[in-house]
Amino acid sequence: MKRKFAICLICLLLAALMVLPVSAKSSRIQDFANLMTSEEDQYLEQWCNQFDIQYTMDVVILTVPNTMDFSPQDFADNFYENNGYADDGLIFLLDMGSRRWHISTSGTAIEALSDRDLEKIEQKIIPYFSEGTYFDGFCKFLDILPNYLEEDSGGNLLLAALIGAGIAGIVLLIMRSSMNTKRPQRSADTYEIDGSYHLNTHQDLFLYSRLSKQAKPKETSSGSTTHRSSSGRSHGGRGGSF
Amino acid sequence: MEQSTVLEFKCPCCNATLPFHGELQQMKCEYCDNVFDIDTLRTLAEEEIPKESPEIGWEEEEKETWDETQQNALRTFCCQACGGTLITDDHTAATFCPYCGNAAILPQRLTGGLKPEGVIPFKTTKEDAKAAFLKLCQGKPLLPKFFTSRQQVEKITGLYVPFWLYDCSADISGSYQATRVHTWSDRDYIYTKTDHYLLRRQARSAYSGIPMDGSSKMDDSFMESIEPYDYSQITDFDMAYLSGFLADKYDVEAKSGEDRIRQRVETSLDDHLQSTFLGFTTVLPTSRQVAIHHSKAKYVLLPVWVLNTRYNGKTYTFAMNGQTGKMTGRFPICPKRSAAWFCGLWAAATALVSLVQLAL
Repeated sequence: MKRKFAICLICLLLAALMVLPVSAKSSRIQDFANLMTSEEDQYLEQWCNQFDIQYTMDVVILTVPNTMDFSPQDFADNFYENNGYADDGLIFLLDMGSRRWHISTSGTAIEALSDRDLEKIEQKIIPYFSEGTYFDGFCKFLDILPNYLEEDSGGNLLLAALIGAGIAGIVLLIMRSSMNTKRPQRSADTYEIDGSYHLNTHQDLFLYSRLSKQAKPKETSSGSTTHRSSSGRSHGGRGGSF
Repeated sequence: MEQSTVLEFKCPCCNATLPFHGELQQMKCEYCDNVFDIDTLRTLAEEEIPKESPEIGWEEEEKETWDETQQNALRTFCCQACGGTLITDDHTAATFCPYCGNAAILPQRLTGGLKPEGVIPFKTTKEDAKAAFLKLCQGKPLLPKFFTSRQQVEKITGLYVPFWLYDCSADISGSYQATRVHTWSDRDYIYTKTDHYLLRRQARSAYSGIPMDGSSKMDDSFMESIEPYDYSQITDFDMAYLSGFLADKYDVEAKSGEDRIRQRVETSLDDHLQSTFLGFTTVLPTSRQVAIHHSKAKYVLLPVWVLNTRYNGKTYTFAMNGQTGKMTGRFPICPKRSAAWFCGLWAAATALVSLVQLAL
């Protein structure tokens, strides 16, 4: 009896565990190539959590031994799309097999990280990976990322003063315009004798017609070039070798 | 088929010479492939000749001048500073010039001059005029302080201003190049179809009582601003109306007002035609002329309350229609007050924009 009861309890527990809500989102640090220790992974995981809180973006780091016949761009795109990450975010992929890296942006991160920004990030980060200091490289990446995500906001006193002067100027112009109510009459309409107006000729002659056509321009987003992944979602990004 | 007149037709689209196309019985352009009806082309060719705007045909009427008794009963005053001449009756005296405020104003004998054919007597009082003036000055923070002082306001003068009232009839005839544009698009292209038209219009209308002030000292635009007057109240001139008021002696001939009258009549007729251009995208006149005829001018005196104030070397005028009470005015702007307001507004606006920036 006791044994049966114990087995039932264990089965119930197992069942309960299975039914427990599992987070649909995978962890943000996916170190399949084992470039870092689990402590380092956890450290980076915490950091990425901060990013989520502060910028509502998923920053994902993915290292793999190979990309299985996919291009780094496709691999990064698909991994990001299929693992429950938010619509806004980015993924940093390191493929140890071909020694290629790729950053793929999604949602608001596409515009926030322009092609220029990604170029600058490349210049600063990739040397770390070329030398094999992977943890340092990712730390540096997460360190400089906020600089590019943040818009140059706040405290443009000069701009405020200029707009202020503009508004003051307009209000003053309105005040000045009421200082002269002189208005010459436009026409002699008031003095037209009722019923004296007659339209004698009203002729519209058709001459010829001309048809022209213009090709529609293709749409491009400013600052960031985009591509579509196999599932159809748009991504920005950049890749290279290390 | 030979044509009786040697008239070469040009294609309205690309200006090439048009040959006759036997099969279509129309003119076809070899370059742009457009096909035209001969009658249309003939009408088009006739339109090309520009015509001069004819002179206004005046009907000269005999005008009365003052007779002996009238001349004796009237007095004129002449301002030594600005040369303004005013007429009034025996009992009224002018103590200052209503145009420049100068008090050096001397009586003179009336010599000749046209007698007015009609007059609209004053329907509003000096109190009405003063109240209206003060009301107009309200809510003008840029006004210098002394402007509404009692001393200043007291100087409002009731003045009969000489006007010419024009009656005329006018004809407009014009041809216009018009287009009608349709645009639509499909997946790859944006299409634009432009239909070209020739429009011909002809209309006539008649006008009565278009006013033009006959005094060079009164700004014409100011007098236009207090239009219109109700002409049903015009009565025959009587010297009794002058009592207590001044009248300006006219010094602008009826013919001098021609240009302005023509301008107003043309605008009126153009506006009428505008309503017949509905549905067209662009309309450009190729030829248009207005002929004004059967015109005559009547000389009348119309009542105006006037106050002229000098400030910083310039004269600022306030005028009110003595019959209807409609008013107009030009006011000086005190530079100190102007600067103070600008700085205040600037500070407030900058603070507001900074707050908005921080909130975003």
